Amino acid sequence: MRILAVDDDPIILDLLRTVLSEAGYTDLATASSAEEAVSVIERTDRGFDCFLFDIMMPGIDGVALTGAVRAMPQYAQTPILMVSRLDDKHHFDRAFAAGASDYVTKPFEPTELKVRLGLAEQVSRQQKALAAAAVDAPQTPLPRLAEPFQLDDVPYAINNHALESYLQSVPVGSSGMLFFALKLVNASELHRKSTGDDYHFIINSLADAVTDVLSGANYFISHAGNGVVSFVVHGGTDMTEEEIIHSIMSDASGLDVTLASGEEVVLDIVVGSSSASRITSRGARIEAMREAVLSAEGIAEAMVARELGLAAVHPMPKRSGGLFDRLFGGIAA
Amino acid sequence: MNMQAREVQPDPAITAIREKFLSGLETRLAELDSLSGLLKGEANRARVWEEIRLRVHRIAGVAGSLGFAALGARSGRLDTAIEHYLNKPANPRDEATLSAALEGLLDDIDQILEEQAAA
Repeated sequence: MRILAVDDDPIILDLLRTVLSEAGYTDLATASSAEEAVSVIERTDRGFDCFLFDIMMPGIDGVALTGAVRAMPQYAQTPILMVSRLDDKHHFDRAFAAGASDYVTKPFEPTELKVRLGLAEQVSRQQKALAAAAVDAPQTPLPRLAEPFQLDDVPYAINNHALESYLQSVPVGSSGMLFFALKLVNASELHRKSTGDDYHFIINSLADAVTDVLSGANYFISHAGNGVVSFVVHGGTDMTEEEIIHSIMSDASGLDVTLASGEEVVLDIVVGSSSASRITSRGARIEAMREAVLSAEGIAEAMVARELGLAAVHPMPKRSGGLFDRLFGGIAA
Repeated sequence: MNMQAREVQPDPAITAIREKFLSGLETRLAELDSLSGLLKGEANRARVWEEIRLRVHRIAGVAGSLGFAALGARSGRLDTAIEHYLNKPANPRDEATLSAALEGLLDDIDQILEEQAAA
């Protein structure tokens, strides 16, 4: 894996070179400023597979550098790890909003950095394979149903790995978060009927409906695969959890889309949630996000089962959230 | 084999970086001392604090990884405090607190350098 590390402190660059070399990552280039990094990236004849950026540097900072690198089409998905002393939530939010994939705070533990690099390497390999497949395909390939993909031109959209990294790394004790998952109930059917462009359009349309509702709030949104769009509202919002769900159900439920085949299809959705206003541990946040996804998937499965008259065969899953009860108490769209 | 007798040997590469950090620490101290002196004059104080913060931030980022946990922690607290101060610098009492914290950091660095010289 070819890595570019950027930091204005030469001691940190020495330390990174040593730690990375001991972890087997010897193909390392370095730069001591964002300006130099851009120059290195533009001049190199071999692309980079991963970036490590400090944030606070003289001149252009690491967050602006992240935005600049993300604007380069060949690096739109390349893992970018922020390696920074800055440990306030504000800096995490800025970094992930600009396109960071992960965030490691200094002073870093070599073991932790190696683990994060291992994850970045996995992501890099997957993305290379997808990019290679896309080159051979005449049009946008249809992703597998379970495959997460990056939302296009959706505000505060980050990839699924980055969302998980954000939840794991953002400082403990940050203000309350609300976790949601929008599930396309008829995802399997629509996926079967769609071209790649159709399916991307469907998922992006759902994400757009969510971001319209969340306009003005602090949030990150991601496509998690299987027709699930997951999103976390972090920081203050004027809306309650229930208001957010109702607004999204109102805006996005029943959207119709015309597929490339000419067939008109209707998007059936449900929204699951899990609030975590008192959750302070990182693991609990990941669990809360999973609960929201499970909640949405459980409701969707039960709706399908009910439509097919299979409720007795597949009993409705027991969920802890109130949405499940409300939905099946007659509020469902 | 007596496992208890075996000591963990420091990584030679990390040791070399630690030495490099220590050899540059005097320069870092001199720069911070000089900037601290500028605060007593008519200089653009916010600009001086920004320069101080950049240097303190660098120490905070690396000291803990090289065996200077206390220095790293103190630098980290000062880094954060300067950031907050620069975001709303209205209160002179805050600046006095920052100056005192900076003096404490300079004393810490001084002590580390003295210990190294004596070793």
